[in-house]
Amino acid sequence: MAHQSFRKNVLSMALKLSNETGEVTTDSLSVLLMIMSKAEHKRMLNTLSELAGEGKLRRIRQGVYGPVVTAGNPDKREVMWRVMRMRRAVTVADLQEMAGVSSSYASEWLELLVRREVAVRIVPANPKHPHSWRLVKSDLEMPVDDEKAARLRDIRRKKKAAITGKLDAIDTALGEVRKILKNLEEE
Amino acid sequence: MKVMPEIRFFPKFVNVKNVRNFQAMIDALMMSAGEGRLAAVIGPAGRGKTRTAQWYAANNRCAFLRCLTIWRQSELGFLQALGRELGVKKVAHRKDPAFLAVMDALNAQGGRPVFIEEIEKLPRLHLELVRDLSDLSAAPFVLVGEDELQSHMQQVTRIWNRTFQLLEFEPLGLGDVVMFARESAGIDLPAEAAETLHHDAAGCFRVIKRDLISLVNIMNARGKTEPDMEMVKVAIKQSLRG
Repeated sequence: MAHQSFRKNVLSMALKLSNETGEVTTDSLSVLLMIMSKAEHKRMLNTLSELAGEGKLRRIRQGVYGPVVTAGNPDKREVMWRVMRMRRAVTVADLQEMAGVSSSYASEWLELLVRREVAVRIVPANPKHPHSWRLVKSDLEMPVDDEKAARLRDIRRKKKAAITGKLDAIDTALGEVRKILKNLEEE
Repeated sequence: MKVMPEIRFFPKFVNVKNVRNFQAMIDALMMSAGEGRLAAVIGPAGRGKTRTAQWYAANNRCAFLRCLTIWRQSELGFLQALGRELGVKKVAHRKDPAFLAVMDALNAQGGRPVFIEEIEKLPRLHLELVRDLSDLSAAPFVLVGEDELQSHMQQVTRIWNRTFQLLEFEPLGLGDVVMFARESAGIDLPAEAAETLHHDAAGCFRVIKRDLISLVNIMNARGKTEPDMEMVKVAIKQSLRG
Protein backbone atom coordinates (compact mmCIF):
# COMPACT_ATOMS: atom_id res chain seq x y z
CA MET A 1 0.00 0.00 0.00
CA ALA A 2 2.87 2.32 0.93
CA HIS A 3 4.40 1.76 -2.51
CA GLN A 4 1.09 2.53 -4.21
CA SER A 5 0.70 5.84 -2.41
CA PHE A 6 4.30 6.81 -3.21
CA ARG A 7 3.66 5.97 -6.85
CA LYS A 8 0.44 7.97 -6.81
CA ASN A 9 2.27 10.93 -5.28
CA VAL A 10 4.99 10.80 -7.91
CA LEU A 11 2.47 10.60 -10.74
CA SER A 12 0.18 13.36 -9.48
CA MET A 13 3.07 15.72 -8.72
CA ALA A 14 4.74 15.00 -12.09
CA LEU A 15 1.47 15.61 -13.94
CA LYS A 16 0.70 18.75 -11.96
CA LEU A 17 4.10 20.29 -12.69
CA SER A 18 4.35 19.15 -16.27
CA ASN A 19 0.84 20.36 -17.10
CA GLU A 20 1.95 23.85 -16.13
CA THR A 21 5.28 23.97 -17.96
CA GLY A 22 5.07 21.05 -20.41
CA GLU A 23 7.85 19.13 -18.68
CA VAL A 24 9.32 18.34 -15.28
CA THR A 25 12.88 17.41 -14.32
CA THR A 26 13.57 14.57 -11.90
CA ASP A 27 15.55 16.95 -9.66
CA SER A 28 12.70 19.42 -9.25
CA LEU A 29 10.30 16.56 -8.64
CA SER A 30 12.61 15.16 -5.99
CA VAL A 31 12.69 18.52 -4.20
CA LEU A 32 8.92 18.94 -4.31
CA LEU A 33 8.32 15.42 -3.05
CA MET A 34 10.71 16.25 -0.18
CA ILE A 35 12.90 13.27 -0.92
CA MET A 36 15.77 13.25 1.54
CA SER A 37 17.89 10.20 0.73
CA LYS A 38 19.64 8.79 -2.32
CA ALA A 39 17.68 5.54 -1.97
CA GLU A 40 14.37 7.42 -2.06
CA HIS A 41 15.52 9.38 -5.10
CA LYS A 42 16.41 6.13 -6.85
CA ARG A 43 12.99 4.75 -5.94
CA MET A 44 11.39 7.83 -7.49
CA LEU A 45 13.43 7.37 -10.68
CA ASN A 46 12.35 3.74 -10.90
CA THR A 47 8.73 4.74 -10.37
CA LEU A 48 8.97 7.37 -13.13
CA SER A 49 10.46 4.81 -15.45
CA GLU A 50 7.63 2.37 -14.69
CA LEU A 51 5.02 5.09 -15.25
CA ALA A 52 6.58 5.98 -18.59
CA GLY A 53 6.60 2.30 -19.53
CA GLU A 54 2.90 2.07 -18.74
CA GLY A 55 2.19 5.13 -20.87
CA LYS A 56 1.02 7.28 -17.94
CA LEU A 57 3.91 9.71 -18.39
CA ARG A 58 6.12 10.55 -21.34
CA ARG A 59 9.91 10.50 -21.07
CA ILE A 60 10.99 13.56 -23.04
CA ARG A 61 14.74 13.06 -22.57
CA GLN A 62 17.04 11.81 -19.86
CA GLY A 63 15.85 13.17 -16.52
CA VAL A 64 12.88 15.03 -18.02
CA TYR A 65 9.28 13.82 -18.11
CA GLY A 66 6.05 15.25 -19.45
CA PRO A 67 2.35 14.43 -19.83
CA VAL A 68 1.27 11.93 -22.44
CA VAL A 69 0.09 13.69 -25.55
CA THR A 70 -3.21 12.22 -26.64
CA ALA A 71 -4.31 13.70 -29.91
CA GLY A 72 -7.59 12.56 -31.40
CA ASN A 73 -7.72 10.88 -34.75
CA PRO A 74 -7.02 13.21 -37.67
CA ASP A 75 -9.99 14.26 -39.79
CA LYS A 76 -10.45 12.83 -43.27
CA ARG A 77 -8.91 15.86 -45.01
CA GLU A 78 -5.78 15.54 -42.93
CA VAL A 79 -5.54 11.82 -43.70
CA MET A 80 -5.91 12.57 -47.43
CA TRP A 81 -3.30 15.30 -47.20
CA ARG A 82 -0.86 12.97 -45.44
CA VAL A 83 -1.42 10.27 -48.06
CA MET A 84 -0.86 12.85 -50.81
CA ARG A 85 2.40 13.98 -49.22
CA MET A 86 3.63 10.42 -48.76
CA ARG A 87 2.83 9.26 -52.28
CA ARG A 88 3.22 12.52 -54.21
CA ALA A 89 0.71 11.20 -56.77
CA VAL A 90 -2.64 9.63 -55.96
CA THR A 91 -5.85 8.50 -57.61
CA VAL A 92 -9.34 8.90 -56.21
CA ALA A 93 -9.31 5.16 -55.43
CA ASP A 94 -6.10 5.57 -53.40
CA LEU A 95 -7.75 8.17 -51.20
CA GLN A 96 -10.89 6.08 -50.87
CA GLU A 97 -8.80 3.14 -49.73
CA MET A 98 -6.41 4.96 -47.40
CA ALA A 99 -8.75 7.56 -45.88
CA GLY A 100 -12.08 5.73 -46.12
CA VAL A 101 -13.79 8.62 -47.94
CA SER A 102 -16.33 8.58 -50.76
CA SER A 103 -15.18 9.07 -54.35
CA SER A 104 -17.08 12.36 -54.66
CA TYR A 105 -15.47 13.75 -51.51
CA ALA A 106 -11.99 12.68 -52.66
CA SER A 107 -12.56 14.20 -56.14
CA GLU A 108 -13.83 17.45 -54.66
CA TRP A 109 -10.82 17.69 -52.35
CA LEU A 110 -8.37 16.93 -55.18
CA GLU A 111 -9.97 19.62 -57.34
CA LEU A 112 -9.48 22.05 -54.46
CA LEU A 113 -5.76 21.23 -54.56
CA VAL A 114 -5.75 21.90 -58.31
CA ARG A 115 -7.48 25.27 -57.82
CA ARG A 116 -4.91 26.19 -55.19
CA GLU A 117 -2.13 25.15 -57.63
CA VAL A 118 -0.83 22.64 -55.10
CA ALA A 119 -1.50 19.65 -57.37
CA VAL A 120 -2.04 19.01 -61.06
CA ARG A 121 -4.39 16.54 -62.68
CA ILE A 122 -2.67 13.97 -64.87
CA VAL A 123 -4.82 12.59 -67.70
CA PRO A 124 -3.53 9.14 -68.69
CA ALA A 125 -2.85 8.28 -72.32
CA ASN A 126 -5.04 5.20 -71.96
CA PRO A 127 -8.62 6.40 -71.40
CA LYS A 128 -9.36 3.22 -69.42
CA HIS A 129 -6.82 4.18 -66.76
CA PRO A 130 -7.90 6.45 -63.90
CA HIS A 131 -6.81 10.07 -63.65
CA SER A 132 -4.20 10.86 -61.05
CA TRP A 133 -3.26 14.00 -59.16
CA ARG A 134 0.37 14.92 -58.57
CA LEU A 135 1.62 17.16 -55.81
CA VAL A 136 3.64 19.97 -57.35
CA LYS A 137 4.53 21.99 -54.27
CA SER A 138 6.35 20.85 -51.17
CA ASP A 139 6.64 22.38 -47.71
CA LEU A 140 3.02 23.45 -47.56
CA GLU A 141 0.47 23.49 -44.81
CA MET A 142 -2.66 21.50 -45.52
CA PRO A 143 -4.86 23.64 -47.81
CA VAL A 144 -8.20 24.44 -46.25
CA ASP A 145 -11.31 25.01 -48.31
CA ASP A 146 -12.09 28.57 -47.16
CA GLU A 147 -14.95 29.00 -49.63
CA LYS A 148 -16.65 25.85 -48.42
CA ALA A 149 -16.04 26.82 -44.79
CA ALA A 150 -17.62 30.25 -45.48
CA ARG A 151 -20.56 28.55 -47.19
CA LEU A 152 -21.06 26.26 -44.18
CA ARG A 153 -20.77 29.24 -41.80
CA ASP A 154 -23.42 31.04 -43.85
CA ILE A 155 -25.74 28.01 -43.73
CA ARG A 156 -25.25 27.74 -39.95
CA ARG A 157 -25.95 31.49 -39.54
CA LYS A 158 -29.18 31.22 -41.56
CA LYS A 159 -30.28 28.15 -39.58
CA LYS A 160 -29.56 29.96 -36.33
CA ALA A 161 -31.56 33.00 -37.49
CA ALA A 162 -34.48 30.77 -38.52
CA ILE A 163 -34.48 28.94 -35.16
CA THR A 164 -34.21 32.24 -33.25
CA GLY A 165 -37.17 33.61 -35.26
CA LYS A 166 -39.23 30.54 -34.43
CA LEU A 167 -38.30 30.79 -30.73
CA ASP A 168 -39.33 34.47 -30.74
CA ALA A 169 -42.67 33.50 -32.33
CA ILE A 170 -43.16 30.81 -29.66
CA ASP A 171 -42.32 33.39 -26.98
CA THR A 172 -44.88 35.84 -28.35
CA ALA A 173 -47.52 33.12 -28.59
CA LEU A 174 -46.82 32.01 -25.01
CA GLY A 175 -47.14 35.61 -23.87
CA GLU A 176 -50.54 35.83 -25.50
CA VAL A 177 -51.62 32.54 -23.93
CA ARG A 178 -50.51 33.84 -20.51
CA LYS A 179 -52.50 37.03 -21.11
CA ILE A 180 -55.61 35.01 -21.99
CA LEU A 181 -55.15 32.84 -18.90
CA LYS A 182 -54.75 35.93 -16.73
CA ASN A 183 -57.91 37.45 -18.20
CA LEU A 184 -59.79 34.20 -17.58
CA GLU A 185 -58.68 34.20 -13.91
CA GLU A 186 -59.81 37.85 -13.49
CA GLU A 187 -63.21 37.12 -15.05
CA MET B 1 -35.76 -9.10 -69.05
CA LYS B 2 -34.21 -9.20 -65.61
CA VAL B 3 -31.30 -6.77 -65.20
CA MET B 4 -28.52 -8.05 -62.94
CA PRO B 5 -27.23 -5.52 -60.41
CA GLU B 6 -23.76 -4.31 -61.26
CA ILE B 7 -20.98 -5.51 -58.96
CA ARG B 8 -18.74 -2.68 -57.89
CA PHE B 9 -15.16 -2.94 -56.76
CA PHE B 10 -14.90 -0.57 -53.83
CA PRO B 11 -11.36 0.56 -52.95
CA LYS B 12 -11.26 -0.38 -49.30
CA PHE B 13 -8.43 -0.98 -46.88
CA VAL B 14 -8.90 -4.58 -45.80
CA ASN B 15 -7.43 -5.86 -42.53
CA VAL B 16 -5.71 -8.92 -43.91
CA LYS B 17 -3.46 -11.04 -41.70
CA ASN B 18 -0.32 -8.97 -42.37
CA VAL B 19 -2.16 -5.78 -41.37
CA ARG B 20 -3.36 -7.37 -38.15
CA ASN B 21 0.19 -8.54 -37.38
CA PHE B 22 1.45 -5.03 -38.15
CA GLN B 23 -0.98 -3.46 -35.68
CA ALA B 24 -0.05 -6.00 -33.02
CA MET B 25 3.62 -5.19 -33.61
CA ILE B 26 3.05 -1.45 -33.19
CA ASP B 27 1.05 -2.08 -30.00
CA ALA B 28 3.89 -4.19 -28.62
CA LEU B 29 6.42 -1.53 -29.60
CA MET B 30 4.43 1.16 -27.83
CA MET B 31 4.47 -0.84 -24.61
CA SER B 32 8.16 -0.02 -24.18
CA ALA B 33 7.49 3.72 -24.19
CA GLY B 34 10.20 5.81 -22.60
CA GLU B 35 13.23 4.28 -24.27
CA GLY B 36 14.69 4.46 -27.75
CA ARG B 37 13.72 1.48 -29.84
CA LEU B 38 13.52 0.30 -33.40
CA ALA B 39 11.29 -2.11 -35.27
CA ALA B 40 11.74 -3.59 -38.71
CA VAL B 41 9.11 -4.61 -41.25
CA ILE B 42 10.56 -6.72 -44.01
CA GLY B 43 9.37 -8.73 -46.97
CA PRO B 44 9.56 -8.89 -50.77
CA ALA B 45 7.87 -6.27 -52.96
CA GLY B 46 4.11 -6.54 -53.45
CA ARG B 47 3.16 -7.85 -50.02
CA GLY B 48 1.63 -4.53 -48.86
CA LYS B 49 4.32 -3.29 -46.43
CA THR B 50 4.42 0.28 -47.72
CA ARG B 51 0.66 0.46 -48.16
CA THR B 52 0.09 -0.71 -44.58
CA ALA B 53 2.72 1.61 -43.10
CA GLN B 54 1.32 4.58 -45.05
CA TRP B 55 -2.23 3.75 -44.01
CA TYR B 56 -1.19 3.55 -40.35
CA ALA B 57 0.92 6.72 -40.55
CA ALA B 58 -1.79 8.73 -42.32
CA ASN B 59 -4.49 7.71 -39.85
CA ASN B 60 -2.36 8.20 -36.73
CA ARG B 61 -0.51 11.44 -37.53
CA CYS B 62 2.84 9.68 -37.83
CA ALA B 63 5.72 10.83 -39.99
CA PHE B 64 6.55 8.63 -42.97
CA LEU B 65 9.74 9.11 -44.93
CA ARG B 66 10.89 7.28 -48.02
CA CYS B 67 14.68 7.35 -48.34
CA LEU B 68 16.14 8.68 -51.57
CA THR B 69 19.37 7.52 -53.13
CA ILE B 70 20.49 11.14 -53.42
CA TRP B 71 20.99 11.17 -49.63
CA ARG B 72 23.78 8.59 -49.89
CA GLN B 73 26.44 11.28 -49.94
CA SER B 74 25.30 13.26 -46.92
CA GLU B 75 22.98 12.95 -43.96
CA LEU B 76 21.79 16.56 -44.27
CA GLY B 77 19.18 15.84 -46.94
CA PHE B 78 17.86 12.96 -44.85
CA LEU B 79 17.62 15.14 -41.72
CA GLN B 80 15.97 17.99 -43.61
CA ALA B 81 13.36 15.70 -45.16
CA LEU B 82 12.67 14.02 -41.82
CA GLY B 83 12.31 17.46 -40.23
CA ARG B 84 9.79 18.51 -42.87
CA GLU B 85 7.74 15.34 -42.30
CA LEU B 86 7.78 16.03 -38.57
CA GLY B 87 6.45 19.53 -39.15
CA VAL B 88 9.65 21.57 -38.72
CA LYS B 89 8.77 24.96 -40.20
CA LYS B 90 12.24 26.33 -40.81
CA VAL B 91 14.57 23.73 -42.25
CA ALA B 92 18.22 24.19 -41.19
CA HIS B 93 20.98 24.11 -43.79
CA ARG B 94 23.65 22.55 -41.59
CA LYS B 95 23.73 19.10 -40.03
CA ASP B 96 23.89 20.07 -36.36
CA PRO B 97 20.90 22.44 -36.29
CA ALA B 98 18.97 20.10 -38.58
CA PHE B 99 19.59 17.23 -36.13
CA LEU B 100 18.52 19.38 -33.18
CA ALA B 101 15.38 20.53 -35.00
CA VAL B 102 14.44 16.90 -35.67
CA MET B 103 15.10 16.06 -32.01
CA ASP B 104 12.81 18.87 -30.86
CA ALA B 105 10.10 17.78 -33.26
CA LEU B 106 10.36 14.17 -32.08
CA ASN B 107 10.10 15.27 -28.45
CA ALA B 108 7.00 17.28 -29.23
CA GLN B 109 5.13 14.57 -31.09
CA GLY B 110 4.21 12.48 -28.06
CA GLY B 111 6.04 9.23 -28.76
CA ARG B 112 4.26 8.40 -32.01
CA PRO B 113 6.22 6.02 -34.23
CA VAL B 114 8.20 7.36 -37.17
CA PHE B 115 8.24 5.25 -40.34
CA ILE B 116 11.36 5.19 -42.51
CA GLU B 117 11.20 3.28 -45.76
CA GLU B 118 14.08 1.80 -47.76
CA ILE B 119 16.87 2.90 -45.44
CA GLU B 120 18.83 -0.14 -46.63
CA LYS B 121 19.58 1.88 -49.80
CA LEU B 122 21.64 4.29 -47.72
CA PRO B 123 25.02 3.80 -46.00
CA ARG B 124 25.06 2.43 -42.46
CA LEU B 125 25.79 5.90 -41.09
CA HIS B 126 22.16 6.85 -41.70
CA LEU B 127 21.08 3.88 -39.62
CA GLU B 128 23.37 5.09 -36.83
CA LEU B 129 21.72 8.48 -37.13
CA VAL B 130 18.30 6.90 -36.65
CA ARG B 131 19.62 5.05 -33.60
CA ASP B 132 20.93 8.33 -32.13
CA LEU B 133 17.61 10.06 -32.76
CA SER B 134 15.69 7.21 -31.20
CA ASP B 135 18.01 6.95 -28.19
CA LEU B 136 18.02 10.65 -27.43
CA SER B 137 14.33 11.31 -27.99
CA ALA B 138 12.94 7.90 -26.94
CA ALA B 139 10.82 7.96 -30.12
CA PRO B 140 10.14 4.59 -31.74
CA PHE B 141 11.32 4.20 -35.34
CA VAL B 142 9.83 1.60 -37.64
CA LEU B 143 12.06 0.73 -40.58
CA VAL B 144 10.30 -0.69 -43.61
CA GLY B 145 12.23 -2.43 -46.35
CA GLU B 146 12.97 -5.53 -48.32
CA ASP B 147 14.74 -8.60 -46.92
CA GLU B 148 18.23 -7.04 -47.00
CA LEU B 149 17.13 -4.52 -44.36
CA GLN B 150 17.50 -7.22 -41.71
CA SER B 151 21.13 -8.00 -42.58
CA HIS B 152 21.83 -4.26 -42.90
CA MET B 153 20.63 -3.79 -39.31
CA GLN B 154 22.26 -6.94 -37.98
CA GLN B 155 25.69 -5.76 -39.13
CA VAL B 156 25.73 -3.24 -36.30
CA THR B 157 25.19 -4.90 -32.94
CA ARG B 158 24.09 -1.71 -31.15
CA ILE B 159 21.34 -1.23 -33.74
CA TRP B 160 20.17 -4.82 -33.73
CA ASN B 161 20.15 -4.73 -29.90
CA ARG B 162 17.64 -1.91 -29.99
CA THR B 163 15.40 -3.65 -32.50
CA PHE B 164 12.51 -4.72 -30.32
CA GLN B 165 10.24 -6.04 -33.06
CA LEU B 166 10.77 -7.72 -36.40
CA LEU B 167 7.80 -8.43 -38.63
CA GLU B 168 8.05 -10.30 -41.88
CA PHE B 169 5.19 -9.71 -44.31
CA GLU B 170 4.06 -13.13 -45.41
CA PRO B 171 2.49 -14.03 -48.76
CA LEU B 172 -1.25 -13.35 -48.75
CA GLY B 173 -3.10 -16.44 -47.55
CA LEU B 174 -6.13 -18.11 -49.07
CA GLY B 175 -8.30 -16.67 -46.29
CA ASP B 176 -7.00 -13.20 -47.11
CA VAL B 177 -8.04 -13.61 -50.77
CA VAL B 178 -11.55 -14.67 -49.79
CA MET B 179 -11.81 -11.82 -47.26
CA PHE B 180 -10.49 -9.25 -49.74
CA ALA B 181 -13.01 -10.33 -52.42
CA ARG B 182 -15.87 -10.22 -49.95
CA GLU B 183 -15.04 -6.85 -48.40
CA SER B 184 -14.01 -4.93 -51.50
CA ALA B 185 -16.42 -6.37 -54.08
CA GLY B 186 -19.01 -8.24 -52.06
CA ILE B 187 -18.20 -11.49 -53.90
CA ASP B 188 -18.17 -14.84 -52.18
CA LEU B 189 -15.49 -16.68 -54.10
CA PRO B 190 -16.06 -20.41 -54.54
CA ALA B 191 -13.21 -22.44 -52.99
CA GLU B 192 -11.73 -23.50 -56.33
CA ALA B 193 -11.78 -19.95 -57.72
CA ALA B 194 -10.16 -18.57 -54.57
CA GLU B 195 -7.46 -21.24 -54.72
CA THR B 196 -6.71 -20.47 -58.37
CA LEU B 197 -6.47 -16.72 -57.75
CA HIS B 198 -4.32 -17.33 -54.68
CA HIS B 199 -2.01 -19.77 -56.44
CA ASP B 200 -1.57 -17.56 -59.49
CA ALA B 201 -0.75 -14.45 -57.47
CA ALA B 202 1.88 -16.24 -55.35
CA GLY B 203 0.87 -14.18 -52.33
CA CYS B 204 1.35 -10.81 -54.06
CA PHE B 205 -1.27 -8.30 -52.96
CA ARG B 206 -1.03 -6.15 -56.09
CA VAL B 207 -1.62 -9.13 -58.41
CA ILE B 208 -4.62 -10.31 -56.40
CA LYS B 209 -6.16 -6.84 -56.47
CA ARG B 210 -5.61 -6.55 -60.23
CA ASP B 211 -7.08 -10.01 -60.88
CA LEU B 212 -10.10 -9.25 -58.73
CA ILE B 213 -10.82 -6.00 -60.60
CA SER B 214 -10.66 -7.92 -63.89
CA LEU B 215 -12.95 -10.60 -62.49
CA VAL B 216 -15.52 -8.00 -61.42
CA ASN B 217 -15.44 -6.45 -64.92
CA ILE B 218 -15.96 -9.85 -66.56
CA MET B 219 -18.82 -10.72 -64.21
CA ASN B 220 -20.53 -7.40 -64.99
CA ALA B 221 -20.02 -7.85 -68.73
CA ARG B 222 -21.63 -11.29 -68.57
CA GLY B 223 -24.34 -10.26 -66.13
CA LYS B 224 -23.30 -12.85 -63.53
CA THR B 225 -23.36 -12.48 -59.78
CA GLU B 226 -21.18 -15.50 -59.05
CA PRO B 227 -17.83 -16.20 -60.64
CA ASP B 228 -17.01 -19.53 -62.23
CA MET B 229 -13.63 -21.06 -63.01
CA GLU B 230 -13.69 -19.98 -66.63
CA MET B 231 -14.20 -16.34 -65.63
CA VAL B 232 -11.38 -16.58 -63.09
CA LYS B 233 -9.01 -17.96 -65.73
CA VAL B 234 -9.94 -15.22 -68.19
CA ALA B 235 -9.45 -12.59 -65.47
CA ILE B 236 -5.98 -13.90 -64.68
CA LYS B 237 -5.07 -14.00 -68.37
CA GLN B 238 -6.43 -10.48 -68.97
CA SER B 239 -4.63 -8.92 -66.05
CA LEU B 240 -1.35 -10.53 -66.99
CA ARG B 241 -1.68 -9.11 -70.50
CA GLY B 242 -2.61 -5.68 -69.16
